[in-house]
Amino acid sequence: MVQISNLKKSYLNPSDNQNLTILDIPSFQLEAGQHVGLRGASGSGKTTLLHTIAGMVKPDSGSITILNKDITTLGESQRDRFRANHIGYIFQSFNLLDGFTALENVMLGMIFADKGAKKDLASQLLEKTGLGNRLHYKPSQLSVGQQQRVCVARAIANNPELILADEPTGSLDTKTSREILDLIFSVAEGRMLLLVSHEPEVLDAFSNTMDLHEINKAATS
Amino acid sequence: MTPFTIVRKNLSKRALSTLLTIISVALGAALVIAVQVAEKETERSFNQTSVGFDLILAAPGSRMQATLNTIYHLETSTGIIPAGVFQALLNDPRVERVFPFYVGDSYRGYRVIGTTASFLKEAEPRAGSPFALSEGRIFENPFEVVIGSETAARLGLRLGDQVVFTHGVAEVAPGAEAHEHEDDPATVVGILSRTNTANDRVLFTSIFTTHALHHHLHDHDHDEHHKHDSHKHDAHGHTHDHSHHHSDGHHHTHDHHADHAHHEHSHEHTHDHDHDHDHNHDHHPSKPTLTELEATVTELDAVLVKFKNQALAISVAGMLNFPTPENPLLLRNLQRDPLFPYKDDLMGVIPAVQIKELMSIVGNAEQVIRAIALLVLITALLGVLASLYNTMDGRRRDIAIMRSLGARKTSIFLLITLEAAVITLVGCLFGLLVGHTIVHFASPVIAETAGIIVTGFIFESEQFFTLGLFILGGVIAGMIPAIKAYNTDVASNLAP
Repeated sequence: MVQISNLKKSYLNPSDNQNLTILDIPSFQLEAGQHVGLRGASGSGKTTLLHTIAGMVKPDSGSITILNKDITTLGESQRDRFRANHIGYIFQSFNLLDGFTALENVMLGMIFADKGAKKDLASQLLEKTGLGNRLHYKPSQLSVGQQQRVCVARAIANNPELILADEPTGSLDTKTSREILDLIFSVAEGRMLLLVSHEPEVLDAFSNTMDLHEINKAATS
Repeated sequence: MTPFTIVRKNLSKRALSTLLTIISVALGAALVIAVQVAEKETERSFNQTSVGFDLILAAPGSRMQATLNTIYHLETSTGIIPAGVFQALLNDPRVERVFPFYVGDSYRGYRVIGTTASFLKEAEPRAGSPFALSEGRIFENPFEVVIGSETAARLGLRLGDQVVFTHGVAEVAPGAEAHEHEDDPATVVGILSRTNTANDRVLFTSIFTTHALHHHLHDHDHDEHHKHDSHKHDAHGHTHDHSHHHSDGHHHTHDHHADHAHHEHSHEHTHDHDHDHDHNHDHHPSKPTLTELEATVTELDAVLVKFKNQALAISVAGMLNFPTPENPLLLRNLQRDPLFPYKDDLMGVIPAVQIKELMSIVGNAEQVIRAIALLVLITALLGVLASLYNTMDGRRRDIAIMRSLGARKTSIFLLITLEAAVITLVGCLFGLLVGHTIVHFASPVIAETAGIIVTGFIFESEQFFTLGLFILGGVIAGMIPAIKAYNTDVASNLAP
């Protein structure tokens, strides 16, 4: 499970040289295997929250316990390692490397984890996401929907317990959004999923939804 | 997928920039390697030929010139010395080996060295390693020639080929007329194995052959136009010296015989050279041996001496080079030396001393070249740095993506450093080949202009050590952009 307690994160605002609080979350919890849709408007701190849970951003205070490990107590390289092994991330803008094929992008998701890159597994994952015939296509040769499928395959490459998805359908049309959402639900079966979106159609697909403004005091103030 | 796959992908993504950087590294490495090979070969070439003689006896003049002339087959002779010097040392109990040395002619730019067969049997162009024949035999008769390996290779000469010598050792200017001894071709009877010394690019024949040609030529000149060239002055000088020794009573009988035999031979050659040879071989059991003919030679460029005790070389050189002492006791001691009568005609040159001096001159030039090569190398390494550093801004997103996938900062640092190492390594490997190719193709030019035999495509551990340092330099240069990559912030460079 994921347990957040008294999490605070602020940035220095260069315009007035004042600290701007982005996150102030007294408590948040995600149970094992639970899928939660988090509603968040632009500027509500949803990306910062996901970055912080993923260990890419260190909070000012508070704790984030994932799989019984408080990642806020870990050093940067330990957080990197934890992320590689236990967390899959799906981006709105896919964040695929241009010079790499679909297969290589998925393998790139594996190379930094303890198990290392496995070509067969990467191929299977791409087949599972419907790209079995696009293994050696580069991102520029794929549609946006296909690119997001590669991103989904990469997110589960290391069989993570937690999947974080930041507006995963934000760049897609309605039909493709539905397909990608179905794919995400499919691959997230048995894993924790925290998906943030501002799209009602996406959030309607979740049985558990929360409003970021409700859990993040910084967003409501 | 390995880190090398990521590096390869990143480099091929910026193919043109990578290629240009590799080329700049390759050129830097090529220059360094070429300088190193040439330096090593030069040092080896000069050092190897330094052994074998303790003393060079030549006409008074520049000691360096005498050394370059006799050992490296460069420069001109310091003058003519009486052949009696050689004869005097032949039976000297202090002497282990003695060889006459005379250069007068050339064949297509390659010097013809007149000496005795014993030079090719006993002299050591490299320490402890005498000449070896790869084909044929050593000259046994007049107008037979044994050629160095480089001479054979460059001129495409084979056993049995006839060579017509050109008078003098200087290159003939285009349009100018070379004076060739067309009536007296010599035959290639032996090809020497490679020694990697200046001896590889000369032709060896008997001193009798070189002198026979010269006397023939001088008579010819004299009869036709009374031409005066520098060599002819030498010849006149020699005649004077020779007469002088006759009047001194030294070797009178012997020299008289020598003159007689020589003129006779010269005369025969002028008329019917081939006939003379066959005739002598088949029907004249009383035909003089080559050694006897060589004894008729009256002038030399130098005499090369190996003493049984090396210290003797210093004392003989001192006797020749310092003024005659007035102390009667000392004078009486010196007068016992068989070379004393030639004191005014000779200088003694210790080749080891000259070579040391030469190496220091060469060493200074080497240092300048090495400094230039080092600058080129540093420039190339700065090119690696600049090339990678300039890409860092455009690669922040890629780095942030890898970090988001779990790449540690150190992994990113190592990947960028590895890129620099790969660029430098590939550049170095190309540079190694290009450097050796430069040496290979510059070899004949260097041999002709500097008289040094340099050989490309001999890969030595020293070169790999240099390239290893070069790669280390590349890695260090790569660390600067790698530090920038290391500090790339993930969250701010990652698109949502």
